[in-house]
Parts: sequence; C-alpha cells; structure tokens
Amino acid sequence: MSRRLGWITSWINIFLLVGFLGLWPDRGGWCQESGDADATTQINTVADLLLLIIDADEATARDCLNQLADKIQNNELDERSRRALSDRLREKLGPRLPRPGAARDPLANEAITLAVLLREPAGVEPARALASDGKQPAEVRQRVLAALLLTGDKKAHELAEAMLTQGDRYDGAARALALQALTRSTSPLVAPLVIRSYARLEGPLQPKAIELLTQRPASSKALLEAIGRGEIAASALNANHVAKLMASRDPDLRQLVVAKWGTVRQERNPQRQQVIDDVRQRLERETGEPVAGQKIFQRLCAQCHKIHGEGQEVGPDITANGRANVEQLLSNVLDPSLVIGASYQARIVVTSDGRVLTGLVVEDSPQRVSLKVPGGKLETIARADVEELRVSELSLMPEGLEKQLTATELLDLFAFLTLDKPPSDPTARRIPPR
Amino acid sequence: QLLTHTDASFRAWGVRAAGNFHEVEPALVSKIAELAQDPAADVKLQVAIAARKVKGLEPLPLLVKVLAQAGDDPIIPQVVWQNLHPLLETNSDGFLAIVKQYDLKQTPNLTKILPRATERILAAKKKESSK
Repeated sequence: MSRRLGWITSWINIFLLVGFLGLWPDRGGWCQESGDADATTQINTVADLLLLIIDADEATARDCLNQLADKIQNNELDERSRRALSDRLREKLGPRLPRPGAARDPLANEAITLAVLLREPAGVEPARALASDGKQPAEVRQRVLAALLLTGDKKAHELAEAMLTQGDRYDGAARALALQALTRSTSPLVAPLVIRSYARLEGPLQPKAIELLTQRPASSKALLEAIGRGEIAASALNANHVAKLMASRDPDLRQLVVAKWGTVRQERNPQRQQVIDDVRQRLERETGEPVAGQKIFQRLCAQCHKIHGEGQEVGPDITANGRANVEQLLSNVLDPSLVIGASYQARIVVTSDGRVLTGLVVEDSPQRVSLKVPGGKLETIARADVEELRVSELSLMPEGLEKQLTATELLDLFAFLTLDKPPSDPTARRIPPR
Repeated sequence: QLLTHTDASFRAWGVRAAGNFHEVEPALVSKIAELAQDPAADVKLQVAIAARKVKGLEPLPLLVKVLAQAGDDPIIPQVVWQNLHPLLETNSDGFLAIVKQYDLKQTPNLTKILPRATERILAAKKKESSK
C-alpha cells in the first residue's frame, strides 16, 4: 500500500511540476480556444458568477466583492466595464443597501462600497455613515472612505479631516485609516490637510504621512515648503524619500530637492564604512537605554521590520535575521545598500498621473504592479497606469539613519537591537561583538 | 480492462496511460469521463490531469465535475485549477454555463475557486468590445 502511495505521490509531483512549469498545451492542443475575450462579455460573465456566489456563500461573496472593489479603486477596470457591472449588479446589490427599519444585510458593507465605486447615488449616504461608524472594522471603514474620496465626495473629505485633526473625538486607529484612505485621493486639499495634522499624528503614523506626501509632485512641493517653514523637520525625510522625489518627472520639484539636499546619491555611498567605524567606537565607550531604544524602533524601524513579534513585514523579520553579532548589525543598519537580497531590491514606479512609489515588488504582471511600501501597505497600480518601473540601486532601507536620530537616541536604539530578547525579558543577553 | 478494474490504483493507471497516449478509442474517452465520479480520489486526480490531454474529452465540464466531487482531497482542487485556469481566459462563458448547472451551496470546492476564477477572467487578454 505504501509503495503504491509512493508511486502515486511521485507521479503527482511530476504532474504538478509540469503544470506549474506551464507545460500543458495552451493553444493548438486538444482544447478548443476562441482567441482573445471580449471585454464586455467578460464583465457580464464575472457579474453573473458574482450573482451566483452572492446567493450561495456569504464569505466567498465578500471576498469577490472586495476583490472587485479593489480592482475598481486601482483603476484596473475601464469606464465601460464599470457601467456594465453596475447595470448587471444593481438589481441584486441594491436591496442589500441599508434601509431604515430593516435588518442590516450581511453583505451590506460590501454592497455600499461597490455602489459608491460604481457611482450609484443610492450608495453615498450609507457609505458616509459606514465610514464614520466606529463600531465597524477599520478595514471596512478605510475601504469605503477611500471609495468616497475617489469619487471626490466633499463630506468624505470633511470626515477624513475631522479624523485627522479632532484628537478628542477620534482615536489613533481612525487617524490611521483616514491617512490610508487619503493616499489614493488626487484632491489638492489632501496635502495641506496632512501637513496641518502632521504634528498631532502618532509616531508610527508620521512616516506614513511622509510616504503619502512624497507620492505626488504637488504634495511633495507642499511638504518641502512646510519643511522650509519649520513645520516639519527635514529629518522626517530619509535618503530614500529624497531619492524618490528626484525620480519625479517634475523639474521644479527636482530643483527644490537639489537646493535643499544638494546632489542626491542614487547608489550606495562608499563612505558608509566611516560611519560604521564612528558608531562602533561610540558603542564601545557608551551604553544606551534599551527601553527607550525600543520606542525609537517602533517609531522608525517597525514601519518595515518586525522584531519579537511586533512591526510590519516589508523587510526581513530581524528577530533572528541580521543580528548575529554587533558587526553584522552595524553594517545592516548603517550601510543597508552594501548587500541587498534580490527579494529586497526596491523598485521605483512612476505612474501616468505623476505619482511616484518606492517599494518591494509583490506582483509584476501584465495586469498590475503591486508594491509593498514602507508602512506595510500594499499599493496596486494598473499596468496601463505604469509610466516607468525601474530597480533602485539603493535598498528600501534608508541610508543615513544616524542623521534622523540624536546621538543619545542612536545609542538607545543600538542598546535595544543588541539584546537578543525584548528588554522586558530578564533573560535578555547582549549579542556577541563579532 | 484497467479502467474498469476493481482496484482503484489500476483504474488510475489506466487513466494516466490514456493521457500519455493523447488519442484513444471513443469508448475509452466516455469511460474516462465517467471516472470523474469514481469514489477513489486517486482516479479522479488522474482524470483531472488527463482532462486536457485526451482528445475527445471536454475539459471544462470534466474538470468542474472532478472538482465538485473532490470532497476533502487537498490535491485535486490544485490540479484542477492548474488545468482549468487557462481555459477561463478564452471560454469564460462556457465556464459560467457549467457552474450554473451546480448547486453552489452543495459544492464548496467549486464555490471556493470562484474568486480566483473571476480574477482570472478579468485578467484575460481583452480584445476591443464590438458593443
């Protein structure tokens, strides 16, 4: 029996491999294929499948409707497809929108978001109510708020503004979702709002605000002006942000960057070894406070790295990676572009509407490019909207971390990073020097 | 003889051999199609693999049938998907017509792949609509 099972398993493996390698005949084989599909027919087919799924299984329907909403938000469906979808789904999703006195439909949230994205007027009021409903999951509120903002809804912008600026009324989670929702908005009101609320944002949200502001030329200029006025510290921008601004197609913006930061290096700086030597000498003389260092980590590094189970996973989890000894740690933190793993090579994407994004590629297909950007957010750009896609010579991990910290803060950060366990753990020990 | 053998391993062998031949007698084609409902997972798996290889088999309905009957088998849905998704690019209408024949509430394996199927259909290379 076990021999037979082994035989079957090995054949399964071979067949799976052949399947994955795409060796099954696709065209001209034994199946009849009729050439490229008609776009409207495809949309109608998808809509009809959706109608079947909605009747059959709530969880699957939720997945499908959210997937569709994401595609519309990412501009992967053209106007004609959206209209066709709207015509097909209206009858089924319309009754699922909330109505006074009626029990809330289990798919109401998804129906509301899709209705907004398909420009169905009946979805707008329920969408505003959903976005401001603190009892609903943050992910749902963010999705619907982003949908409203995408349609240029003024009340949605007012809500996002209130979430960002009224600290007594809205909590950090609301500010986080508002900031995320504003990312895709092209409204000229976004940059002034984010700059105005920057100082009040929680530490981990400030880098997300900078990420948002450095995505478009107009908001980048507004950010540089705010830095010039002293409203935002110049150290809020790391070397990668500056490199991203230099990737802009806007010559005025590039000129402003050069005026402020001088010539911006687009590849590894060979002088980083000197910085490592300096910091090593300081670490040999002085010791920082690891608990304070943990807070600095949460503010700066946790945007991309996880340690001891906390933080985002854009870059490697550094609980067990890159900290084998102090020497390796110094090199990874202070000279991150010296060695970059292939899967951590950053890409710069410039979109047709001038947006610039830097992140790690999650998907690069004929349909879309998806990047994981600092902060952990997944940004998806329809392939047709990608004007330029290039590999950055720099690691996504910025050079010049020491410039963003005071001397004490740097010592504190290394005091935290050189412990093998969290500072709260009494068994925590220092990692070896080499 | 292999296809009608009482031992499921032999039936699976038979289907696999037919797949390797690509072209078999019409009677065998019908028999392979019937084996989509075989009680043994190994046999159904081989039918899923042969679905696009044996001339005369209709891969779309056969793959959906195998999937619908896969029960808790962890491998069949993966093999079905590998063979099914290229067909969705050009015959999404046919897929829809077949799915309509099933009660999705009773066929969770089929329901589970529908999000991926809709994604695949939307990702298909499009020609300009004539409408």
